[in-house]
Amino acid sequence: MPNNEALYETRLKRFNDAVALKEPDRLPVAPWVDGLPYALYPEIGATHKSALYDYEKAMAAHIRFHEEFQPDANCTNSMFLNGPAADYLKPTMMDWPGRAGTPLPDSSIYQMFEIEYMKESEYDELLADYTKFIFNKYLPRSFAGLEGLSGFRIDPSVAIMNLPLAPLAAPEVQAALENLIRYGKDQAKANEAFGAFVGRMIGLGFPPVFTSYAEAPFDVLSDYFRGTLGTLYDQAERPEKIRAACGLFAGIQKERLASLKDAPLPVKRVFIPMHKGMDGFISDEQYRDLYWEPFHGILKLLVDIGYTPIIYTEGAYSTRVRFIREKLLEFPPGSCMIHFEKGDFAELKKLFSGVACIFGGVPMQMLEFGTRAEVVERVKYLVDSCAAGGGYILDASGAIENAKRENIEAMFETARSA
Amino acid sequence: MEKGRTKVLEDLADAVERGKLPEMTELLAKGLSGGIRAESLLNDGLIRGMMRLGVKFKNHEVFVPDVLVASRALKKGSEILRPALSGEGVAPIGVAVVATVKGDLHDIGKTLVGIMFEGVGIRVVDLGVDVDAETLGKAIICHKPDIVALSALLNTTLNQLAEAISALDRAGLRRRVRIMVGGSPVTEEFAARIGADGYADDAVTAAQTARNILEQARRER
Ligand code: B12
Repeated sequence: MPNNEALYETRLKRFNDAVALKEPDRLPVAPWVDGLPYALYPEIGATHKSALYDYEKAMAAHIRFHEEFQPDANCTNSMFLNGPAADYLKPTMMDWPGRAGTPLPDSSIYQMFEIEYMKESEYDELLADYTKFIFNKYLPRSFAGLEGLSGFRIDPSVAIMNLPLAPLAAPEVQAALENLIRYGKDQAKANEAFGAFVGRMIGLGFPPVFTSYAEAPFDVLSDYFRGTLGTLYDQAERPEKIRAACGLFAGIQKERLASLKDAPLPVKRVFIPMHKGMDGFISDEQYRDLYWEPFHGILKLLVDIGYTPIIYTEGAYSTRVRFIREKLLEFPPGSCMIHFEKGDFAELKKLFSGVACIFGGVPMQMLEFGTRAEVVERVKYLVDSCAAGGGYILDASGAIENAKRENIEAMFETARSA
Repeated sequence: MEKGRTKVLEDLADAVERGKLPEMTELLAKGLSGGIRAESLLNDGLIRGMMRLGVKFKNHEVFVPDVLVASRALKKGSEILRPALSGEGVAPIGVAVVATVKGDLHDIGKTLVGIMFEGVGIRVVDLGVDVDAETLGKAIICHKPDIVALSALLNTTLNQLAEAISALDRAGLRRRVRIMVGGSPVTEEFAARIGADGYADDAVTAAQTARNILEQARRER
């Protein structure tokens, strides 16, 4: 039995080899999981609510999953979001299990919804003064517990003694600022707990898949500012505003990401979910101009500072893959990873061979509703068409919420016996 | 005159297809004052434009934003024509209630289905997202739809489609309507298994299927 340290090194090398487009000792199997461990081990009693409020319990389920199935990485996708802080910050863009009065069961993952936090008429305000817009409008709208920030202004007129700070006398402003401080302290604790989890998983032999995140500026605009629908109208009616806002967001993100350069992290990979760029949502020209162009600068920065961007596509990408391949060719081979939810994996592997490592391939629906035989057949197909020569990691089509145990077993067994 | 008529209708279809509101409004006024029947302005102008756009959407030649902008024109145009249409005694070919099921907030696929339904001349009552069976039942009683179209985008809300159908059954409302289901995780087999009357992969096919369902129902009557 190799010890955990040796296992860690073997797995890390296996994963890194696949990413670097080199033949690994065997196919890395790393299916990302969300709620699956809670569903598989009900005796532990962990749920999505535990991942927000009771880290120890959530951790126990995830550790059990990794010990049982021995994946090639720490596959836990979302964990340790700060439930207690949400209770007083009261984010308005989501609901979560454990919120007082929520209709959600404890077993539900948090639920994002979209609100137009920025109206179509407010682009110019955002562009003219990002910080003012964020403090006086965006934060008060997106967190009920920060409403008081709308009155937070520093007025430099008659600046005698401390008069410019006088708006702080308002109780609403103080309440909001107190919530911010309180949040900062709570978040430090959550960070520590998450760090401890990652460390513990490393100790058990499971290297993390990624250690930071980023988002395409277009998705930031659509997900958190204008909403999907609002953005779709803007694409038709004010594309120049979208372009300007995306440029702004790209610059801000790059500042943060650049600071990762010398961070002492066990792996240097950045997770980037792709939300609103799939087939049908956006024309080819706008995809190039509004979506990819501002995003490309982020990719370039990450590659330059030695990080591997993990491009995580959601939805159908058949009309995009050739373009994406072209863009990734601007980087050295093996600089990026790219996940697909849909598509013909044999074709994708051919297309990205020598360019980037692809991953995904086992449909979540099949794992949850399909048969063992279907899973075996699917995994065999993936191994046969994608594994040779590296550049492929076996994963499901998305982070697994629920599945039949026998299907998960079949996925691991088939991938390993091939 | 005939040539002028054809030109107005063609321009009208074109204006809807490109979502040009002012142009469309002007053309409608011109058509009405020129003696073109409102029914023809609707069917051979507005709806024809929307149908053409639908085909292009299906073929990835135009995209969701184009459809949304066009649908805004179609809606406005139908409003303008409404008094004239009722004067002519023209009724929509059917009524549909569309909704995303309980627990599910995905709006866009369902909205596109509604738009394409309108694009084939079906009147649409959109109940929005996160709609439970009780609300659905009330809407059936109130709007007397021919079709109920339900959307689900999450694995965790797929069973709400089945749940809605059996709740309508228990409430004695199931047989009053034809039920269509869709959304990316829904498959034809799944739709059949839960006893839906129709399924489609995309909004354009959904509208054609709805039309076929309405025609079949008319023949059966
Ligand atoms: C936009 C989006 C959102 C937006 C929705 C905004 C809005 N106003 O609608 C927001 C951010 C709110 C959101 C939230 C969530 N989402 Co979401 N979302 C998407 C995304 C990116 C696009 C969906 C979409 O609009 N598609 C475009 C439309 C045009 O396609 P469509 O809906 O499939 O509709 C077409 C056909 O299916 C058909 N059709 C649709 N309805 C009907 C009905 C009938 C009767 C018929 C005949 C046909 C039909 O016609 C349509 C047009 O041709 C998808 C990714 C994807 N692959 O689709 C994820 C996706 C659907 N979301 C997902 C998830 C997990 C979530 C969240 C749980 C995430 C979270 N933890 O918060 C929450 C759940 C919130 C909730 N309770 O609903 C998963 C679902 C996985 C699964 N199968 O279970 C997806 C697939 C992303 C992923 N890969 O993980 N999401």
